[in-house]
This record gives sequence, structure tokens and C-alpha cells, in this order.
Amino acid sequence: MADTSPMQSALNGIAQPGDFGADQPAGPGVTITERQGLQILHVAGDIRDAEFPSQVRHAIGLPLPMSAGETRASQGTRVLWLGPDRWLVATEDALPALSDAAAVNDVGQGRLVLRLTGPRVRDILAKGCPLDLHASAFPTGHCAESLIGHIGVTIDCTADETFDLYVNRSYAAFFWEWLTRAAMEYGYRVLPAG
Amino acid sequence: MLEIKCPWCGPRAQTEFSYAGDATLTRPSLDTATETEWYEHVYLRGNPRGPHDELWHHAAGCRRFVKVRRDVTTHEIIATAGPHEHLGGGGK
Repeated sequence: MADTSPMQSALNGIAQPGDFGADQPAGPGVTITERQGLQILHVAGDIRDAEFPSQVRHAIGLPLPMSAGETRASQGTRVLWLGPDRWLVATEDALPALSDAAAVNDVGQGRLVLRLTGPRVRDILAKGCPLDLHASAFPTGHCAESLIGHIGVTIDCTADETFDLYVNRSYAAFFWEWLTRAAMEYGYRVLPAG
Repeated sequence: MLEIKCPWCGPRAQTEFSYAGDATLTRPSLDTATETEWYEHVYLRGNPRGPHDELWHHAAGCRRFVKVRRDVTTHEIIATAGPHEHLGGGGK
């Protein structure tokens, strides 16, 4: 199924590790790490079909979240609600084998995944996103598909000040430019991809 | 900017949606419709003042089509529903 050979980062030659932007005595406003090696599946199916949710649950070990913006997580695996019939499965483990009860697409090689963590992460994303990103409206464990800097991004709040962003790979250079400019005033740190 | 209440995602900004046309149209029968009926279906639209039912696509969100009753003079959004649901009386 998936080609598991290491893939070149979409940010090769674009992102350099280091500290950039405004110098903050308390540390950078945000720390950015590219998450590599994730297996990402787009799963679509009809929840009225009794087989579908149970088979997916069996394969990935997590129930499909059924309400808007809900996520499910276990060690190394996250399942994101994208729509009433679509989910995103992102896992550090081997790809789960999903039966033909679901329409499954391996989209891992088409996404750039960035982990943003830091005290100003919500302020930075809010510069280009129409969603209410306040912790009361977008708490840990909440996800959404929306726009950041005019492009479609899947946003997953994995911890209090930590967001995973799934960006279409072809937008990587543009999104990096947008993100780093938005983060400039708060100072940002880029860690080596991991 | 409009705020459109997606039946699945809740209130979202207009920028996440793309306009997808008149929601009041009914496709003519493939078997019996005349050329004139097809012409009217494809090209001719009313331009009513006041509430109007239209389709919007939640393109940057859940990718679902949403039926929206919008007052085209005030931009007030009166109701939203799934594409196959009825919005209730009052619109055109």
C-alpha cells in the first residue's frame, strides 16, 4: 500500500532550525516542529451502515468521533472529525488495515504536518483564521477544517498551547512564509523535523 | 462578512464557503423536457428582492452543501439546513 521510504520534507531548503523574529526574554512565542513519518488516512463512510464504524474502530482501536470538531486519541494515533462522513486518522504506528466498509485514501505524502507549541500560538493563528481560537471555544481535543492565510488547513488542538496543522504539501512554502511572518513579532523557534 | 450556520459545523465565516447557486431550481425531466424548459433551467434566473433560498458549499470545512435562506437586500441569514431539507415557509 504505502511507500514507506523516507520522503523529502516539503520544507527542504525553506525552513532552517534556529531562533528568529523578536527576541523574547521569556522564550519564543511559538516553537515549530515538522512532524515527519506520520501515516495519514482519509476515511469516508456512511455511519448509517452498521458495519462501517465498528470495523474502523476494530482496525484503529478508537471509536470514530461523531460530533463536530471532536477528536479521539491514543498513544501515537489521532482520529479527527472532518465532516459528518469524513475522518482523518494520523498515526505514528503502522498503517491500520481498513476493510472495504470504508473509502480509505492514504494522504500522508500529500500533507505537511507542523506542530506549533507556545504561549502565543493562538494569537499567531488568529491572524489568518476566521475561527474563534480562544481556549474556551477551541479547547484541547478540538479540531476543525478551516482557512489559515486563505488556504485550507486541518487544525488539531492536541494540548493546551499545542496545535498540529495539516497543510496540503503543495502549499508548504507559501504557508511557511505566512506562518513565520505572523510569528515574527512574538519570536519563533524552529526545531529540526522529527 | 456573512456568518453562515453550517448544520454540521456550527457558525462559520463566509470565506469558508463558496456560493453554489439557486436552491429553488428543479431539474427538468431528462425524458420529456423541451428545449425551452432546458434553456430556462440552465440560463434564466429570477432576481427577487427579499428572502431567497440558495446553496452554499462549505468548501473549506465539512465539504457539505448547505441550503441558506438569505435576504438579498439586508444580507440577513434567516435559516440554514441540509441540501435536502426544507427551510420552512416564507422564502422563495
